[in-house]
Amino acid sequence: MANPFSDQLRTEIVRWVRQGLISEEQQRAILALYPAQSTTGRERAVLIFSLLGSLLVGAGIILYFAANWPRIPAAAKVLSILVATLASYGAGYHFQYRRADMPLLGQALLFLGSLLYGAGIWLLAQIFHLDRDFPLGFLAWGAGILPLAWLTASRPLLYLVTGLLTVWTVTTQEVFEAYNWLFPALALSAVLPLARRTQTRLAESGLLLGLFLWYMLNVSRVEVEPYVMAGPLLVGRLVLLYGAVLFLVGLARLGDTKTYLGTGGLLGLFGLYLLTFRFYQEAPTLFQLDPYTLGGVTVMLACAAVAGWYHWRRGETLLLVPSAFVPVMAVLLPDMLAEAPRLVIFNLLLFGGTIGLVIVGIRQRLELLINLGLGAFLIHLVTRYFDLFFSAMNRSLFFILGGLLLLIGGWYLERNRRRWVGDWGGGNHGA
Amino acid sequence: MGRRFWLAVLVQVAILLSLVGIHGFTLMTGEPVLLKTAPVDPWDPLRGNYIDLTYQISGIVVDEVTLTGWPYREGQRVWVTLQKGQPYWTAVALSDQKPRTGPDQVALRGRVEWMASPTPGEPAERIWLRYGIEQFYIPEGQGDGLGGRQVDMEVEALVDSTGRAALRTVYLDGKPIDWR
Repeated sequence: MANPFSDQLRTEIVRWVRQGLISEEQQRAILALYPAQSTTGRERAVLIFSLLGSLLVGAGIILYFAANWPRIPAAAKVLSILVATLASYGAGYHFQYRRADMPLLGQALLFLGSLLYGAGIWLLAQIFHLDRDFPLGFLAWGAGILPLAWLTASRPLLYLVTGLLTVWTVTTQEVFEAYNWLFPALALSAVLPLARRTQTRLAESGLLLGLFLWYMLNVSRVEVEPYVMAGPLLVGRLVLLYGAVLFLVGLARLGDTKTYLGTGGLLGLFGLYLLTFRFYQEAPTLFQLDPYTLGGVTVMLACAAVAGWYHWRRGETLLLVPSAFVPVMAVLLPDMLAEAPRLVIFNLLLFGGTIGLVIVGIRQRLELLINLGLGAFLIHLVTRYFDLFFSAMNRSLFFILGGLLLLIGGWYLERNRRRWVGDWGGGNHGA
Repeated sequence: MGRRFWLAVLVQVAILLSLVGIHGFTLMTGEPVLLKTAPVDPWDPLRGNYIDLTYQISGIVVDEVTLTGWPYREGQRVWVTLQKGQPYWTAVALSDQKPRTGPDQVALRGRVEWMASPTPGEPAERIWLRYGIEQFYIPEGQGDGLGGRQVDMEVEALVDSTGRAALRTVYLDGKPIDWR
């Protein structure tokens, strides 16, 4: 929704600063009280077009220098990219803070400046013939724009930082076989607080996924042999546990509810889904859990305890009992069961988890969770339909029946989804 | 706001200049070494065309060098002692710490990329290393003549006092490559 007061304030406040009525610090504090509502179609379109324009210009400049024109001396190349970067930042600063009536253009130009800065790093890598294994380039790029992202509270810059640091840790861990403890330190101390401060759910979710990638790459590095042997089982378990931890953090209101319930629900169901497949499994044993799984269970139970304490204080129904119970069972059962009962039980657990996520979505008035649950239900249904009937049925009949099943299932689920969401009276959709 | 904004931008300028400083130091102070190579030519989306260089010292036979701190693991940083030869420099020792070098020797820093064993579980016979000088960037479209062909190439690299290396000149058939 457009907010005329907020729009008017943004125009007027620049005049107040110029007249010396308030300081720039006070200007920022006041604007923070009335965040810009960039959700109108027009504003969103302006931002998207401006950012796309910045991306195209940035990509063009990167490719121009990547062509490595030998007639341009290296010093001239470096100087031109530095000037272009500073000019872009200068223009961005002007439109964002001096002329506060064009903040979206200002954001796009700041974003372009950060792309040009990255182009400068890769240009130097080219001039000095640095090795293709140059993860440090992504760190220098991401960490370099982090102070600016903090200062300007710019969401596009935050997305860029999150993506670059994630690429950096993945390449560093792969290339150098390193634990890379700097990544979680940076992510938790600098990027996550910024995502919280700017209420950027997508960046926070991306960072949570980046942290999970970092964790999984370290697991694969330390215990190569057990990891390979128990690959799908261990991956399924850890994805599920990580998802459960995030979900419980969301239930305990320790983080943004929508971000943590959404990311946790998605990962939790994906982990359960992985465990519904056939894969190599050793003979059933009792409680031979690896240290990573045990660590994950411990963290998850701690989060469950905090969530329980939170709900108990408010006298609310304990949604967390099934939320904690399903992952614990999912972790313990595969080692205890042979393949056939495991497949049956995990299909049931996935079905239960899907229904549970929809119920949580209805109770918390989070449309995202309902959509996730219904999407997971359809994927589960299609997967099992393929597993069970693909080889047993005539192909044409198989696809016709499958299509009809999806159409009818989709119609039924959409009808119920509309009814559930409609019961909220069109108010809070958990945004 | 203005001052802090430009301070944040200055951080980026400082990072770019420090990259120039680190690699400029190697180029200005490094000891020149001549290495034998064989190329192929891939493409890097961020940096364009480059020749992928593999050196004689990229794959070191374990039995042919003196080893210190053996066994190594993949990803580990190691130092290779290079001995001046006629005309190429060759690896004479491998160490997990920076070694003392004698006359006509330099210590080159590398990273273990992978180790080749005759059968899984047995000790490695050959170690493959990367030194950070495996790419030579070239103007767009001009590496086509080299692609996949085993041509006679030599590289003059510079190795500084910290063991870091930088490419200075690539020679094709004995002549320095000049793309201009």
